[in-house]
Amino acid sequence: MLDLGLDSLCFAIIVSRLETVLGVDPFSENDDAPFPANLGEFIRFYENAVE
Amino acid sequence: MRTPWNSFPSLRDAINVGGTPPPGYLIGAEHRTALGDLLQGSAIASGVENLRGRSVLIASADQFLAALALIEFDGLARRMTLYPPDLALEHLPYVMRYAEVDAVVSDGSFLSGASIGAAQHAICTPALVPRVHASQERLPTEWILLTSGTTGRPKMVLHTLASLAGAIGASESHTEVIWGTFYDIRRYGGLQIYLRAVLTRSSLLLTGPQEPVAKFLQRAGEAGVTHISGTPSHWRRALMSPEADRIAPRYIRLSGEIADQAILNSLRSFYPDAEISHAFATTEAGVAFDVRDALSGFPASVLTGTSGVDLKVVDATLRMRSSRTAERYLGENPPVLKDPEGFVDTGDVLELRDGRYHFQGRRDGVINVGGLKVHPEEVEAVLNRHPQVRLSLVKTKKNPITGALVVADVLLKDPSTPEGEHARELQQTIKQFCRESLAPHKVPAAISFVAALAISQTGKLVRRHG
Repeated sequence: MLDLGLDSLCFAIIVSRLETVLGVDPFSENDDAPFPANLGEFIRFYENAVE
Repeated sequence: MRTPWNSFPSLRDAINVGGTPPPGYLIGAEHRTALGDLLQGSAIASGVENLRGRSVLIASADQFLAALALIEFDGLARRMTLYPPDLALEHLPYVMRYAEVDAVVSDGSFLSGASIGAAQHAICTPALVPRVHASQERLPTEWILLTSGTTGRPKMVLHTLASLAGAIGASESHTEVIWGTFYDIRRYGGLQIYLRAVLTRSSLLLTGPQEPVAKFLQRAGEAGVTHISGTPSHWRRALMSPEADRIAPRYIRLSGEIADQAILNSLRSFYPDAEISHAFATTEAGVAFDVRDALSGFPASVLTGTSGVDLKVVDATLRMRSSRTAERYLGENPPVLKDPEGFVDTGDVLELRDGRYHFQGRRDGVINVGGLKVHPEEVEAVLNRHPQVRLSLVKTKKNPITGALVVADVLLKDPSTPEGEHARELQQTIKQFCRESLAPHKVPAAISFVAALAISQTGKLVRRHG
């Protein structure tokens, strides 16, 4: 994820905006979910949460 | 309380103990220096003896040079002030004045354009020169750490080597320890790791300026880092890197932010062989305790069972008294650091649930964005300077990546609240206005236009903290 050139702050803002738009924050919903390490995992992370 | 690790008169004496060469190295992104080489050589080309007894400010882009300079000047300077890399140079005159700085040690470029007045300027370089004369005389050097203040000006916190090293215990490891830190050593949390390494003569791997986390993880893996420390936000970043499996640490430490259960669980799952510890510390109060049971918060028994530290909860905030606390603040009208009984009010609000205390945030509303403190008043002052803003209220928004983000409610001078595209444009304009005078983590991530902000009977904004 970080190879996209986003620092933690940018990434935090994206997660915050996605929460506003999608109404979900998959990072906070499951204490045991692994952190996504690439864009594909990140998208699946949200797809699973929205489902 | 004196321990074997905070009784050394200086860092140099710790490195030189026992008469055998220390095994450790300081390892930066570009350079590495054996601790033992610093006994015979010096990183200050113009010599250090002419700076004996001075108040020295250490400022460099690469913390590796600061790591060398601290060993050069501890026990030799009257005072050392560590200038953090992210602190704007506009604060340099204030810091120099109140720390009575009369010598500046830099990398030669960090301070370019900034005035240091009549202070002597010495250059620190990784290319060591032979040490000409090494006096055995040791001074009790004061260490000045800078931390975020309400008005944007840094707070200047005075420590000694003994107070900074008070929480460092003897290593139980029988094999070589190689430390790594995501945290910059010019900040209290990073400095703790630096001191753990240097005082135990171990190696320490440091991040380079703006070094990508993936590269640091690669280097940490190649160096065989065994003990590694960072904020929960640093660790979330690390776990989102494909390089996270480059390291196989035996010990993982988190500090500087509230460690939530998600990051503790993720680390446990990713590094099953590592001991995971989260520490509670503040620059002023020092290290309070480590929590090693892999659960967020801390057991209530910690309040009475922490050796060398008196802890109590008063008005829901944690107070702490120990030999690890700072002595006092420097600066203009410095606030009192300790109450008459010697307790430092950490300002951290606690809630007791099922025999365990959990941190709820700060009583003073300070927002912790990835380990960096933000005072709402500083951001509000900038927002309120925007020509279209009448009043603003800056708040924290919980975030799973950086712990928290800064958000703002803004009351505009024009009573008709903008909507749609017009609102988005104005939000962008105000954010850009903030970016011009605030560090990125202080700029509100979201701005909401509100019809009113609550004002108390005393005429102050109503805040809900903690």
